[in-house]
Amino acid sequence: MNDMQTGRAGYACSYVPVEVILAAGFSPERIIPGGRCADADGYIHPNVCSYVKSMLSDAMAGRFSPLQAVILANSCDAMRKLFDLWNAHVREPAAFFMDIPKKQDAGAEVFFASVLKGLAEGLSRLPGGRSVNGGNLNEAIRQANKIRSVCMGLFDALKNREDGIRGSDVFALIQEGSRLTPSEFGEKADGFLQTHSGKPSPDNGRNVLVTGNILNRPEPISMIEDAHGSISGIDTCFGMRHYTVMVEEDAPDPFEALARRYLSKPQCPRMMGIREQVDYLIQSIKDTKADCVVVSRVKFCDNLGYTIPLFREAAAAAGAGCLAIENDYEWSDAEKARIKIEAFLEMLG
Amino acid sequence: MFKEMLENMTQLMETGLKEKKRFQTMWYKEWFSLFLKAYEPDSKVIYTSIYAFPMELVAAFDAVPFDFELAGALMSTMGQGVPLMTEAEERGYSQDMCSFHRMSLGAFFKEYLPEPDLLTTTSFYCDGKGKTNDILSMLWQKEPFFLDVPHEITKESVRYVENQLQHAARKIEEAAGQKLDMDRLKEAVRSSNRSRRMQLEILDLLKIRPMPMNPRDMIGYSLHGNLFSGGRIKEMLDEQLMQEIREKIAKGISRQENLRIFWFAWLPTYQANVFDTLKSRQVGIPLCETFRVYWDDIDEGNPFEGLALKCLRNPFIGSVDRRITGMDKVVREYGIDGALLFATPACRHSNSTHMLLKDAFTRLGKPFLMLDQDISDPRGYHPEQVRTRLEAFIEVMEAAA
Repeated sequence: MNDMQTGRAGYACSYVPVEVILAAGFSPERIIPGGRCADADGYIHPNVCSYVKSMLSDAMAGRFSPLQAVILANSCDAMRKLFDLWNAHVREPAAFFMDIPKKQDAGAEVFFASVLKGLAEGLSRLPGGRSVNGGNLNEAIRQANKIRSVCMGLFDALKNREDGIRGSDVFALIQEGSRLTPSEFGEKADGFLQTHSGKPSPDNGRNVLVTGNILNRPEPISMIEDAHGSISGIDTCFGMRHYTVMVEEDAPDPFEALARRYLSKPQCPRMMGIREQVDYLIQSIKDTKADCVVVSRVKFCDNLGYTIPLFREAAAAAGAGCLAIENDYEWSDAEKARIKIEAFLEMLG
Repeated sequence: MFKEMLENMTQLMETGLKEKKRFQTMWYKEWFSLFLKAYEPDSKVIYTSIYAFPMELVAAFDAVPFDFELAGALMSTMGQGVPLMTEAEERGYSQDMCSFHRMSLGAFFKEYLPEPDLLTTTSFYCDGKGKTNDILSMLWQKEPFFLDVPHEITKESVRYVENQLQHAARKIEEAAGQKLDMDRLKEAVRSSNRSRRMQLEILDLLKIRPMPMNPRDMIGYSLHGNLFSGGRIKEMLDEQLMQEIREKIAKGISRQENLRIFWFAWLPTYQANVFDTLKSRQVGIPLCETFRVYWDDIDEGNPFEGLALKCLRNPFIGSVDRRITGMDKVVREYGIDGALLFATPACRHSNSTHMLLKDAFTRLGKPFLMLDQDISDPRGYHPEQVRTRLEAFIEVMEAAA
């Protein structure tokens, strides 16, 4: 099935299984919109996440027209409502809505597996789509697992400071990977690891774990490195938690295997279970040997916003400093973030 | 502090009831005294979101329901909102967050809240409520129960919610120290169905012009009245309300009105001039979206599935179409001249699609106003700004009428 996909399907959340898209005959493309948020202001309330606004702005301008479909997930209130706005204002591509449970128990897995079957059926009916069966879905699972394995290798190298790998390089690679076919991304990441292998690791001061929701621009990572911080982990929704945990291969029901993996992977703040999210942060601090945590939040993301005070407390309890930086997705106040980052790292010494 | 406030208010309502039996006094008295009961040492307290969680299930137990959002609303009404929100903000909870939730967290930090035995909530209406429930459970070191209600009604989603409700019943059993009595649950369902039918009758009465019910009471009761769903108190309140509305109609003592608006979403909990301004310009509010009956009778033979369906049919789940379905009929039957969305800034789920609500009313030839005003944080409240916006809206409605 290596890149035999004829068309591309966009998706907007790390809970959308790329395996289903691949098996249905499409190449998955993670949407990182670049539309001007203000262009959506006439259609959506100003106090709504700018990532959603940017996506609506791009969609209304027809920038997603080359895609065969876009899968919008029930990630949060704003994304859920984006589906309504999409149906009202966007001519193409058609949007699929994918429900995601907010819980991680067995009942949620059964329900989520049924949702994924529905998504597979919907995608297979699109022009260029094909029926999803155990064979092509298992093949897609293997392909996606391979990417996960390569990416986790990158994150391991980053946290172990093994191969002279810098956070900004890894960030650029995973960002680019979201637009590549799985095999292109796999080759690129392999090549990247080989190029860096054996090079001395830059000892750039304090280890920094970057976490948060969508981080669409490389500047904050570079700012940390410019201020003599070493990125030892990236755990935004493109980062470690997106790639860790494999899907069981050749499971009796691959949809159930997918449901299990996506609901049991480290949680995004959209899930219920704040205690687990806090524990995961503490574990990540230990795993990445981080001296401090930078939490990047797109303004008006309630799921993350409500969690930040607890993250601060947890980081402090784990002996790490914590800085929360807020952005409007366009990073129009990037220099403010730079000052905060510089002051924060300077304060840590 | 909050407890003392509830004691005083309960006493006041009891005194009022001795003088005259009135719906509003009865409702407040029942509400305050029930919340007060949550502070009694032997009470088993279930935190829940009364306007979303199927309260019929809670009514089948002797446990005391307590809603932190509703408590926050009450504290705000009593002028306690700002100090409580400040308490939460000083601990890092951003002003972007819903003021209800900042207030609830502030109330926890100030030790105003009763200790829960279980904290339950739902995935709808908003993300913030679930998060706050999660945070409070962590702070209380108590297990939360989260009712996850999917976006669409399918065979699988009904089963998913039904199974969760059965799980919720087991959790309440543990917290309340009491086994679920299925006969009692069936009676709660029967009571809820009787209330539903009374609500339909009340909705019919509200079509009469001029409107025979205080709009603040209607919006408030449409949300807070659910505290008693599934119990005799709710039926008693509905009966009293219906009787008072009928008396008003018979005596012709209702207010004058030139225009009528349909009200979307919530209402301010602090002293604000919205309703007074509308009243002074003789604008009536015969109906709000939260008072509409969106669910069918619950099947008492299959109460868990019936309650699951009630949740799944909530208009704040699924497509925005659910909020505007049948609006042409509402406009016609209630003589609606325009619609107002009370848009508290952090209510992303309600406000995000405001333009689609507006479009629906534009198609019906009716003006629409989105009134940006916080639900319980008066710090950004500017009465003159609100008045100007409302007066401009009224002028547009007058021109269109």
